[in-house]
Amino acid sequence: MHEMILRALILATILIGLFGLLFKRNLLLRILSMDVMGTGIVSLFVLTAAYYGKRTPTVSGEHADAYADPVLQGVILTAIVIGFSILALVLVAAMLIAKRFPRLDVDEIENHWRDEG
Amino acid sequence: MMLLLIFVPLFVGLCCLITGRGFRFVPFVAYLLSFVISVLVLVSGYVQELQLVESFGVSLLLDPAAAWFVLLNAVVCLGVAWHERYRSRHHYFFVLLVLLHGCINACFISTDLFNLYVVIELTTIIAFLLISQGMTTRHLWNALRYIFLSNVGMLFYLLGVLMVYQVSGDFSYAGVVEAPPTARALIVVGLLVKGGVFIPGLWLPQAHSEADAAVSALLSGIVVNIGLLPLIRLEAFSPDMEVVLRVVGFGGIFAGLGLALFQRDIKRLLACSTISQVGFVLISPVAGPLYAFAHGVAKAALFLCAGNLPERDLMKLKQTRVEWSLAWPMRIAALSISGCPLLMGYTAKYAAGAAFSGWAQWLILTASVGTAVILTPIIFISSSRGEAKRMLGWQAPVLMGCALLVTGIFFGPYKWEALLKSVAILLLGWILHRVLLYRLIQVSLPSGWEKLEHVVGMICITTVLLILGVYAL
Repeated sequence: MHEMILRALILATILIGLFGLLFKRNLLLRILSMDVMGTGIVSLFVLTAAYYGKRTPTVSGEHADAYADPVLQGVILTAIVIGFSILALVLVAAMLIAKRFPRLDVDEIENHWRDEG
Repeated sequence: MMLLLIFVPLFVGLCCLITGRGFRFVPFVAYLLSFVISVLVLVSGYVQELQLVESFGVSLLLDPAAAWFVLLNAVVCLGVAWHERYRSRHHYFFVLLVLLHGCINACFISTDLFNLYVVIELTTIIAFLLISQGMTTRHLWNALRYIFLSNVGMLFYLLGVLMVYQVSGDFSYAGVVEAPPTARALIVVGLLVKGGVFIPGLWLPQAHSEADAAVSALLSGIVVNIGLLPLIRLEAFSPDMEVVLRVVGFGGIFAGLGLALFQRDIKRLLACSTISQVGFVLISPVAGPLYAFAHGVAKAALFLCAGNLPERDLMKLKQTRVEWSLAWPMRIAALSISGCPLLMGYTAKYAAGAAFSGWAQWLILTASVGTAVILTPIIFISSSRGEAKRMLGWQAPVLMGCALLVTGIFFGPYKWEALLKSVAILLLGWILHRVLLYRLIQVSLPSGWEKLEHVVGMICITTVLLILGVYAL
């Protein structure tokens, strides 16, 4: 039950990110929505990894407990790093664009990016 | 041997970056190495497989199919690096180029879902840096759109990977077959976005036409292929995926042709033709690698030449005469894509057509005629032997043209009916162009659909449609 609620909340996060990506007028907010969507997917990986147990998989003398899946956690760590670096790059590009379009309004950029300046 | 393909370019790139010298010519070592290895694999038919971690399906595979793509990567990178060597390029361009080469090699030989995700994202980041090289608003916005869209695609892909892992417990392609249809649809959409196929690929005309000529050549020549080879490999595992991808492939072919009919700008025309050509790669997994090679080399040569043209508008280009040394490589490349005998494109088209029979063959025939129609203005470009200015731009396209010619003569099926058919297609294309294209080219399509949110929306809608489609099968 607990797990179902969490899963529903995470799926809601992903959808909210997606809708933000589609409907936000401001470039910065759109970038943040993309990150929200990414965060939702990362959480989904973490939740799935904890399906069979929450313990860290360390070697111990006693009877092995139910532990979280280390493969998924290792894998998602890579994805987090990639998402972070992409976010950093996108923000730098947005920063440079903001010099010409201080409002960062997507429609304005979309209509005027061809004009030299 | 396989690991050399990845590590030599990365090592060379890092060395150039650290020492800050040799960046114009040292990377050629890496390109030539890829060239030699891929030719060796193709000639000997040797297959090497490497299981990295025992039980999670993480593996590398170098087989002739991958070797075609590595060869394409080597030829295009050689051409672009040679073409740009005397331009006033910042040295980061050359470092990024050799890093891109290594990452794309890694994409071609990795055969598991997660490694693929990592290397595709790495390629996306490097392509982003290459597109934004000029640092004007135009370059930056274009790069931003590119990374936005591929990131959305890869987020869908990642969801699919998670679902596959839940069912099969590893990341191998074989596990995709057992996974629920939703997972398959999500993975396919992610790869289609990267490959620029059909509706998820409609971001491609703007991205490829607004980038610098050398970067467009890289994007259209090799970067789209990182989504195609995994799709071809996945097609081999499950028959229902093959049905879906054939439908999508044919859709892409005709969507690209339809768009290209209305383009006046030569670079947009070439980018739209890329959408239709990647469809050809997908429809037959056996001929796919061959086709991707033929198309990638020719398209890279065309984009490099288009960057040196005095004019981008096709109507104005008709009035001006183009330098002789620039026009011939363009003609050869355009002829190859439209399937002229003795060139690689003819071999590839023949191989792609051989996999079909009945009504599908007629579809392919129509598509071939369409390809000839849209490329006719490039084939019949007017040229003159002006001695006014020594041009340096001809060398790389000529090299690529020779690659097409040599492989085409070597592999070409010398059958009378196939030869006659391709000549007839070219003639029909020329006639249709005279009748039709002059009128169509005057019409300008509305361009509002190319806005970022519409393209993202189209990706989402395709995802939903694909999920429904896969359940229906």
